[in-house]
Amino acid sequence: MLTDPSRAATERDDGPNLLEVQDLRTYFATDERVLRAVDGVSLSVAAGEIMAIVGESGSGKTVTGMSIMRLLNPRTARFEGGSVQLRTRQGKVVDLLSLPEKEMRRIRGSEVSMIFQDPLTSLNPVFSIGDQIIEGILQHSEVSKADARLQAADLLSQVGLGEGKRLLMQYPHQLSGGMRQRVMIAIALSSNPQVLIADEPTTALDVTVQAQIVELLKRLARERGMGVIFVTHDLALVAKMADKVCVMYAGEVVEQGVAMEVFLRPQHPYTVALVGCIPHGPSEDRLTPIPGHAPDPLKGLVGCRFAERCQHALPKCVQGPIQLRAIEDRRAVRCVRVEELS
Amino acid sequence: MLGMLTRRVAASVVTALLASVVVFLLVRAVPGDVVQQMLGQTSDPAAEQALRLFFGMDRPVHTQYFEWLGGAVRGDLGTAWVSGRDVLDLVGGALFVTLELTFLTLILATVVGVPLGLVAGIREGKVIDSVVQSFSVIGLSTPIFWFGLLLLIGVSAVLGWSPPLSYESPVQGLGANLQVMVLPVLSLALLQAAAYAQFVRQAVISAVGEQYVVTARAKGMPERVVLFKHILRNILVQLITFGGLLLIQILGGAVVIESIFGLPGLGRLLLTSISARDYPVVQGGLLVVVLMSLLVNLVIDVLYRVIDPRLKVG
Amino acid sequence: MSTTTSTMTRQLRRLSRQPGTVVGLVISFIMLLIVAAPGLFTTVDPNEFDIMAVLSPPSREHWFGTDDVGRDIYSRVIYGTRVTLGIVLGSILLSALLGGILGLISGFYGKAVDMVCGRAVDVVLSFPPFILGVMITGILGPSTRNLVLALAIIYFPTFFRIARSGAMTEETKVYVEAVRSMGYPRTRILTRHVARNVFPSLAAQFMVVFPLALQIQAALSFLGLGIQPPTPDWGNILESGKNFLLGAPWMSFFPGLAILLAALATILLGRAAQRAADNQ
Repeated sequence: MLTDPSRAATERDDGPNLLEVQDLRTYFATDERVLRAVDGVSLSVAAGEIMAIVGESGSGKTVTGMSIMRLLNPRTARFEGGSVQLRTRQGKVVDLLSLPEKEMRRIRGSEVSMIFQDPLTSLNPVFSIGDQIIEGILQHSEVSKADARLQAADLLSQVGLGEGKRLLMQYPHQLSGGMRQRVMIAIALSSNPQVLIADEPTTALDVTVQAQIVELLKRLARERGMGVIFVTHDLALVAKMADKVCVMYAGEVVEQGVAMEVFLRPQHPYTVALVGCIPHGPSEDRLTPIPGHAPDPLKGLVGCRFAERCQHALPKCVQGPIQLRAIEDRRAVRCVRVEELS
Repeated sequence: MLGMLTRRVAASVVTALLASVVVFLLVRAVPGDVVQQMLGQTSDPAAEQALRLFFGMDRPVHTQYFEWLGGAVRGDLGTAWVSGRDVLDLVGGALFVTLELTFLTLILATVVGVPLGLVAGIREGKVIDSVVQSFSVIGLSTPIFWFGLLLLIGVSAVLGWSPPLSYESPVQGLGANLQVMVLPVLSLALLQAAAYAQFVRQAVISAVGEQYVVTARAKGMPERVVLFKHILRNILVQLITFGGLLLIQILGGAVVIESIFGLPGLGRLLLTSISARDYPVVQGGLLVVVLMSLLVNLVIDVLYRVIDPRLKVG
Repeated sequence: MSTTTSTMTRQLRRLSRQPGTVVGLVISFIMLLIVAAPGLFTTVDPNEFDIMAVLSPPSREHWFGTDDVGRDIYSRVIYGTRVTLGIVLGSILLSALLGGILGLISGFYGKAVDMVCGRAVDVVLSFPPFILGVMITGILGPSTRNLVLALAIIYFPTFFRIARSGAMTEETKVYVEAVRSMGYPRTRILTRHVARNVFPSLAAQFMVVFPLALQIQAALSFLGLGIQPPTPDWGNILESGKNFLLGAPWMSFFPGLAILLAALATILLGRAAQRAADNQ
């Protein structure tokens, strides 16, 4: 496997990486201009590990997940170099970006699975829960329909929906939001994937249900030795449940490290501002939103993309490209002033 | 569901009654009637009077209406004033022809239009999509009667064949029946297929953007399955509703086609009886049309609820 | 100065990528010109007989040929443009006006008006559109007035429903509460604010309905229930040719082609308008 700059900073001591994203660049072509949604992102996930990707909307965090799964429209989205290396169950290493579509379809839902933000619209309203789980099982294995049904009921109990058999016959609209998301997770788990990508799975749910789903994901990752990529905008949530975190801004990773450490001692000005946004307890009047908005993704930007909104910006910040540098063991930051500012 | 059903049926009955009143009054709103038509200008007033009495035209309008209505609910639509034949018989026979035309057209339009729409929708932006869209737009712009006439002369000029002059029911002779029906059905079906294709295409394009399609792909399902299982099943309700609307439109278009091709259908019957001012036939014929139209709407409403699990109560 | 030319070139480039819209615009422009000044397109009198040239095929003198009494088909089609398009336009405008006003009142005030109109709409909708047209023009007598009446009635329900639901949605919106609390009378709210917000959907529906109404109008004329000859109208020109199909197909071919082109243009423009509205 190739080396990536953040790997040295954040690799766990146990087990090889299941997924290594190297310099991923996903560009969208619109009429005359190019949208660089993901512009050189590298990250890795090991077995049993939870890697969070944090960013605001437009940061490219969702596109990163969709790129790994190759779920983007090939007519508008293209990859400009980079690789996504997956270690399959057999131990083989493949680059997902260069696989032909037929091969990729075998990977999707089987080696790498994805769950999405709104479980109501993510499930097909006209098919029963059972149908939708079984469909996935049958797609990737040779079992009989009856066996698939048993497996489906078992999966449902694994995700905390005990009365599996009865639930199989129900329709998505008859379930609560939390239950639907558990069903989505069950579907994603059905062929025992190496990696699970969860794109804002708790954003559409109640706070209490959020906690349950997060606990469930943690347990599943541990028990199955599955790597989880958790995409969210909620840095506080990340601190509680993730092992590592990548903070993304305008298509780039600006800070990378151990989740709890990044939360407690953020180094990049954007991360600092993000932490400052989080309401702490009774003194909720300390909510300080970050002034300004994300840069127009269509404009070619030189240098730091956060410079416009950064209170510490200097001319040298926008003079040339800024690398993601490891500043200590297990931490990388993309900022030329990081040493001066801390 | 039963409660809703009875309510809808009741509402339809009320609408049908109102419609029949409208028709009843409409035919009597114009001066000149069948008697004058039958006897001509230089008729004997006494003879006219006698005929009018025979037809019950001397009685007040509302009496005439309730008599007619009373008969209608018992299945007796009266007798035609011009031919003396039983109206129900006349209308029934004509209805059969029109229904055959309508259903054959609907089937052909569905078989051609829906697949075209599916393909165009799933391959939006590609060549096949542009082709289907062009076909749709041109089909929707083409006047049915013009197309029917062109088909008639085209087939005659190129193949030297023209359809038989008189209608034969499929019971009497399937071959002859098909020969009579082929051109009329083709003329009508073009427009409807174009409409269907456009509708289905739009439905598929909307469905393709839905999140459940992304999920299905994320499960590794092949495109074929995504389209034919997930998307199709989801838009099925809309397809059926649209099919019903088309059915009613075809009923309307059948009038012109029957006229051009000389089919003894309900459309042509209405045309002739309206110009002859044969009230019972006009009333009976229009009542049947209205009932059918309301029935189609009712059936669609029921199917809608049966097919979409979100609407199943309890 | 330079910004306006650059937006213009961008618009033109976008147009060139939509051949349908271009076709629609060209056809519409030509037809509007024909309606405005038919004399520009032909110098022949559409009603003039020429017994010498009865049933002659298209030639340099008679571009579309002549009919059974020697009239020039091309000229009749040109003059018929104004008649046909005028009738359809007038009918739909009437329909939109009636449907729109009654719909707004029903949606905003409800109660008796809504009930009566609702039942009327149900009755109209229980007839297949074309049959309704046949019924009205056939029974009341074929004439221009009855044709316009029939078309207006056929499309009344669709405009009514749009205006009504538009009025009902607008009524629940916050600005209505705000304005009412300032003491504005309800009628003023209706005419000033609600109507303005509902207008775009009515206009969009107009574009959708036009080609449909055109087809129905032509078919009614074809059956002899529409514009009566000798006034040239695409439908009745076509009808006059139906007995001469094998011998003189041009009599029916060209008026039908005109109907096709007019309907095509409105459908294409309607789509372009919708695309433009969606993109905003």
